[in-house]
Amino acid sequence: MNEVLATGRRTVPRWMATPESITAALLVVAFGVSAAFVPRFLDAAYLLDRSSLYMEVGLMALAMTFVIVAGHIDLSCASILALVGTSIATLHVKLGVPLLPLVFLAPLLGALLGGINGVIVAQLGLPSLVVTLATMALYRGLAQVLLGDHSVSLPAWFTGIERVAIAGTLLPVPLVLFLGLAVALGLVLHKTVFGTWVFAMGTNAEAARYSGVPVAQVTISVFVMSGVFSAMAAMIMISRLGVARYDHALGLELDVITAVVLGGASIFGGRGTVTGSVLALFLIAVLQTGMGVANVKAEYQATASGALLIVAVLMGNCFARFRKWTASKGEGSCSGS
Amino acid sequence: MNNRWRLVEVRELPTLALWVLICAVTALVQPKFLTAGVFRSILLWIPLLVVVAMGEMMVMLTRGVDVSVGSMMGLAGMAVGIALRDHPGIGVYGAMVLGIALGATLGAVNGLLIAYGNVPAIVATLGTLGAYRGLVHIVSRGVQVDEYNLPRELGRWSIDGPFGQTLVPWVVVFAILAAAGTLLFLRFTRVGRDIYAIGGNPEAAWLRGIPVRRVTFLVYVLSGLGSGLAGVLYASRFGTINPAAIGSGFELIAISAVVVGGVSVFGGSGTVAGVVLGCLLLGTISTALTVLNIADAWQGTTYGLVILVAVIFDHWMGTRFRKA
Amino acid sequence: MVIPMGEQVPLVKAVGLYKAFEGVDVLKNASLDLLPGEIHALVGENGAGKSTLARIIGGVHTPRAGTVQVNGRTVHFHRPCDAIAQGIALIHQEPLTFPDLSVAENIFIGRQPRRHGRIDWNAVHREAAEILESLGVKIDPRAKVRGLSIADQQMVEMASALSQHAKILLMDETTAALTPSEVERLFGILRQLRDRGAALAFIGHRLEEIFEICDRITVLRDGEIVGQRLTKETSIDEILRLMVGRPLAALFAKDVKHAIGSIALETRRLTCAGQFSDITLQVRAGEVVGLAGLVGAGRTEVARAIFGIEKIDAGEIRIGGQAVQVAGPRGAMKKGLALVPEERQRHGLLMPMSVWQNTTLAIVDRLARFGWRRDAMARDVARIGVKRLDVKLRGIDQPIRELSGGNQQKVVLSKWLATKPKVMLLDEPTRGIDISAKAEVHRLVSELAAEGMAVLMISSDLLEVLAMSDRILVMREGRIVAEFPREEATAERVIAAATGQVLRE
Repeated sequence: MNEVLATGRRTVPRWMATPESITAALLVVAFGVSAAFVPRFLDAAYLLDRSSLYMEVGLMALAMTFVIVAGHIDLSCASILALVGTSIATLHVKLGVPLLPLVFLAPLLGALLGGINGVIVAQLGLPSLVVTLATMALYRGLAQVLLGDHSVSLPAWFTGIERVAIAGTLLPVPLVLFLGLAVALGLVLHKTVFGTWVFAMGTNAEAARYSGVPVAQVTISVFVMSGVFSAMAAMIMISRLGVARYDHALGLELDVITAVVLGGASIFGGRGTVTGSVLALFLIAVLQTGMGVANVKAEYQATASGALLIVAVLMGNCFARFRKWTASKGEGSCSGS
Repeated sequence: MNNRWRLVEVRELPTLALWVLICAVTALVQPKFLTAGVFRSILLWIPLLVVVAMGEMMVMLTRGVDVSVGSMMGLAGMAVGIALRDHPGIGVYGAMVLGIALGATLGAVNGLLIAYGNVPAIVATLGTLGAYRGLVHIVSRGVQVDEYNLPRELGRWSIDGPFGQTLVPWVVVFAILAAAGTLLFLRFTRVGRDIYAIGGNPEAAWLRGIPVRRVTFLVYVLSGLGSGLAGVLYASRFGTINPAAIGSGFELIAISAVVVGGVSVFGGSGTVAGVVLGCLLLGTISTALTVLNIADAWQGTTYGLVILVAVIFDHWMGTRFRKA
Repeated sequence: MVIPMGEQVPLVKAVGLYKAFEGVDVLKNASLDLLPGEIHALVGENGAGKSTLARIIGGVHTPRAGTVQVNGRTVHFHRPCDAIAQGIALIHQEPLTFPDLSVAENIFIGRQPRRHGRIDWNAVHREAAEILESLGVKIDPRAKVRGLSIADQQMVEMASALSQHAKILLMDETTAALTPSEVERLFGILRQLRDRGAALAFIGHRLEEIFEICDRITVLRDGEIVGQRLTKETSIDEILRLMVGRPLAALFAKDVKHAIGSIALETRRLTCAGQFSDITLQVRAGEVVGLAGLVGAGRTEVARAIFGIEKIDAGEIRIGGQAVQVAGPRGAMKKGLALVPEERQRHGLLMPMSVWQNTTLAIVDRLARFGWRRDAMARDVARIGVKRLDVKLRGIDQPIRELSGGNQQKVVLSKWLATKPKVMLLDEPTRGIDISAKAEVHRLVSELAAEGMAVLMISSDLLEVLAMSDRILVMREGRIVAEFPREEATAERVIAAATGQVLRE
């Protein structure tokens, strides 16, 4: 039996066998096609300018990678964004609290909102799908209660973060912040004890618990992370748009989840990389920018986003089946000899 | 004890109690609540929800979820509106068939992805939630269908009933028929029982020879079918069909009703009576908020809270029950 | 009742079946005939391939090679309903029930009697009651299955198989959770079915039972069929020899010459409602305590409660003489406990991950510095574990799912040894692993005890319990009902205590 195991059965090179490589290839193709039709795609300043539109989704996708790898889902992230944005704006504009400390308070508020999700999921063992579906409505509803249908404008010094570039470069602040955090979270997910626990939990939560992984704490942590990153995204969004509204980022959780799943993460948990999510985010950005240039209306783009999410998962399934098939073929030839 | 026709199980009692409590409190604060007009507005609010919730309930009984119901309802309702505007010749009944068939087709796409494509229900329906909503904008070109575009007969379904202009208009009758049909289907057909079995223990269901994929496919078709019917009822009830408004966020209300109605979020248990009661409760809350002059903004918060309270309550009951 | 073999047409004829899971061959060139009017036993050690064979015939698995014929016609089953349609009923090892449905519905699901196109509930309940009565069990057909004992659930499943009027009945360890009187009743029904010309395959571990009821015995070892005998022409000893493939004396026994130390683990009147009650036991350093009993007697639950997985309603746990509150497995681990769980794949391992990741999962934080993993150290730990337990693999980067059951179990053991525990709780440590791995595990347990570790070993393998334990505790229906020191323990006494029989001596 040992000889069977000892026989190599890898028929595809290892680097090709990762889901991220497909995402990367798609990104190259999408970029190439876009550039061929729209010359502006080769203008770095234009691209960097457009990138800011996607950094809010990007930040939430970084944290969502942890949530999904841990075997959960957070449908409430976009609602947390809206609630944090409206709360901060309300505190500043209506109650006169200085804005600077509020910017630092925002992540704490996000942590609290995410923590509520996490505690309910971890302590009561309820499916995160239902819990975050409820808080998705709840948090968005509270945002609406706070501001109603009004927009609250923020002071001029606070707005326009996407037009601020890092000194001496063309790189806008949101992009730099996103890339920096992506590197940091990539290290956390793939190099630390916490990341290992996240993977273990997503692979088999029961086995992880039996092996001394503090499953409840890890669960709460990933939801808190999701809340904190949504809050950061909220700050960037209200700065970029100059106003806070309850319907900011409405439906954006769809894009966030699409990015993570398109990046090769398994919706069942246990598989996924930060690199994959980042690549997938840029793929979405290129596709949506391309559609924008081609004059496809924003409302119509929902169809493309939804289809993309489904295609991403279907592709993942085919990919898994293909791997299983090559594995079983290898196995067949081994025992036959 | 013969429990064949026992419609109300123990789980429904708290929902019923909560409903009575809400009615009582609202009536105390605002006596206007106890008028025929309010009763009628509750009755008109519920039918849309009931037909969608029946399908959502069957999906959730199999441990699935369908968050695309609002978009399916939107697309079916929009198509019906456009068909009646551009080809009035098809008549309201033709339009109704069209809406239901379209809904079932959209549901079948979900069902194919989930049952045969192995796409998790939440991902598939989250995807089609976006995709179908985009299609609503595309087919309508962003233009709403106005009341004068629709035949008057359609609107009269929300006013006239089988007994003339009564408290029970046709849309309510449709909803009652949908609920009764679901009840009979779940109780007296093998497929109906298979739905419970799949949710209760999917692996055992497969090993016992239940066609799990086929039944899973079917529940999503039924969910689409209900949503399609709801789209038609929406056109009748509101007259105006706006691509951004129709069915938007309705998945939340439907899931709230199902969960509040006592369907387990882990699948396998729940009754039609409970879900109808859940619909009644949500309809009452929504109307009570209006009667009490509480801002519309509180609606979303309410649905979120209601889902949370219901699942936590069920969890609490479950642990107490197991300990006992 | 002797049937002249070779003249009858077999109801089922399986020829040359092969099956592999995750690259491990579990069935190799297995062939089997089931004749009408016979009860045919499939015996073998855990992991010998009996269940796989039955599951292929039952349509649960598709073989990689080989054919199955029913009534002389070759069939290709892709799913269980294909087999059910051919009149084959398979009763699974663990009862497959729908907890929220009634007993009657569990029996008839998918096949409810109908009238005028709709389910006739009166008939459902009436027929369910009839079948349950014929089985001699008192279960209300209208009651929900949630809350029934394992034995009752097993009976419900048996009733379901009977209701199919199957010509071919495959039973996978159906009697494991039943009391002797229930077994007797069941056997009566099986004989009736046999006399009506059905073919029955019976998988079991209790050879006495098998010799009582079966006409023919097929022995499997490591996925191959190693012998077939008529029951009246063979003996228990011969069958045992075929099963293990070596003389019985070679079974590893614990080295008992080392001294036994102070109490390492103690429980006092430990109770968990509905699971077990009043569990008082002690395990000393260097001692192996065997915990015997029937499936469902509450042994696994006791181990899980000590390890902090199940909540305790009353009683206390003392480790090293001090009362402790165990808050979850992590807390238990910190107090020097380790649990090798019964369900290896569900609770013990992360199947897609590598051997070294699995080996060091429990100590990943101990090996880390400021939260950063130190993989080089982790890999060293894994290499040491692999070497000590002689795990057969390609390399420590190999995914654990590619290993055989025995080697997987060794990785679970080395994971827990890496935590340097003082007390080891072993729940069915040799279930489903091959003979050589079993001997390795026994050698290791003996070695650990010699080094002063306290071991509490749950096992349904009686020979193992008798050979390895310094002391044997027997549980029945959630309570400890007997205790035997090594010298006084015999198979008969342990079985009698576990089943509640009075032993005539």
